[in-house]
Amino acid sequence: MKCFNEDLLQSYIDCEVPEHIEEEIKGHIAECSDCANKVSSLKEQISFLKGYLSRLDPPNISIPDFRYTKKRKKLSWVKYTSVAAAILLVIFMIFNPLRSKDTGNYVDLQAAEMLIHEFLDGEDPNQLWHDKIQINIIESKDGEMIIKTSDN
Amino acid sequence: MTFDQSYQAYYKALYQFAYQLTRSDSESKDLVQTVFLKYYEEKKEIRKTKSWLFKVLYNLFLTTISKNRNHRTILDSVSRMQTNIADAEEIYERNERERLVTEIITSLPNNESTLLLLYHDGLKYAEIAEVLNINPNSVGKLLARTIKKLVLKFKSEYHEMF
Repeated sequence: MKCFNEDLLQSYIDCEVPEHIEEEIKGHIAECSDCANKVSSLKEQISFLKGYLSRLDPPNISIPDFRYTKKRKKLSWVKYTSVAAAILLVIFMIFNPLRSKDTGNYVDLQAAEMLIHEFLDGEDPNQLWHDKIQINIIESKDGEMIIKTSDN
Repeated sequence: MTFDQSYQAYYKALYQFAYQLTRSDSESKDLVQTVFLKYYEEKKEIRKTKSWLFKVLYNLFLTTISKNRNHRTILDSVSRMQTNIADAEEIYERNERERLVTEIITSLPNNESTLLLLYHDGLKYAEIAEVLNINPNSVGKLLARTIKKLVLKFKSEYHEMF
């Protein structure tokens, strides 16, 4: 009968082969000294290994009571970044140097000035600004600048 | 099996596996506690309890503890003594042998050393295969080869110590 390889004999030693193969191996090693030697050599190696690995076993193990604590969800870096960005935005909005003192709206002052000139069509803006009309510069939601006027 | 039954049945085995990986009592307790918390929350969806617990523990070890240390620190931590051994020389030898066993085990690729630890802890081939994500039919072959390799290494390089 054909001899068995060490891989299968290892599984045989660990009782991990189907019953019919186990019987076959058992019958074979009773007659084949080579395979019988292989089996005893493998067993020796296994016990050698287990003996040394047992040095890594913990000294004593006691089972503590199980305590269920709900996991606190940690803030991910995405959340941290978003929170930081929001804080920076608020600070920027409060101290923004471009913020118009008159209207409280956020505009590019140079661009607003040019728009006012265009709107007044050459008339003296200072005169109109102070004496005749009140000019409100508003930035709409889509970023467009709107100039509203009203008579004093 | 109820949660309490599983907890009682597998706590020691899991702690032992965790201790073999971390060499630290507190880290092992934390790992096992985390694994059982996860099990408590997901129990209904789990079929193969034992291999699931070992697998989660091993993955947790790889993603948390193992990532933050190198082998050197594992070996260094081995030098922690067990108390109540009176003879200093015996402590030294015992400690040295433990250090060498760890050194040889950690010199193997991760999968091979874990394979041996799981085998030593008494897991079946199917359970080992689940934990390591390998084919159950190849466990016997891998074991035979890894054991042979390790025993040869022990005998050729460290025979004087054992």
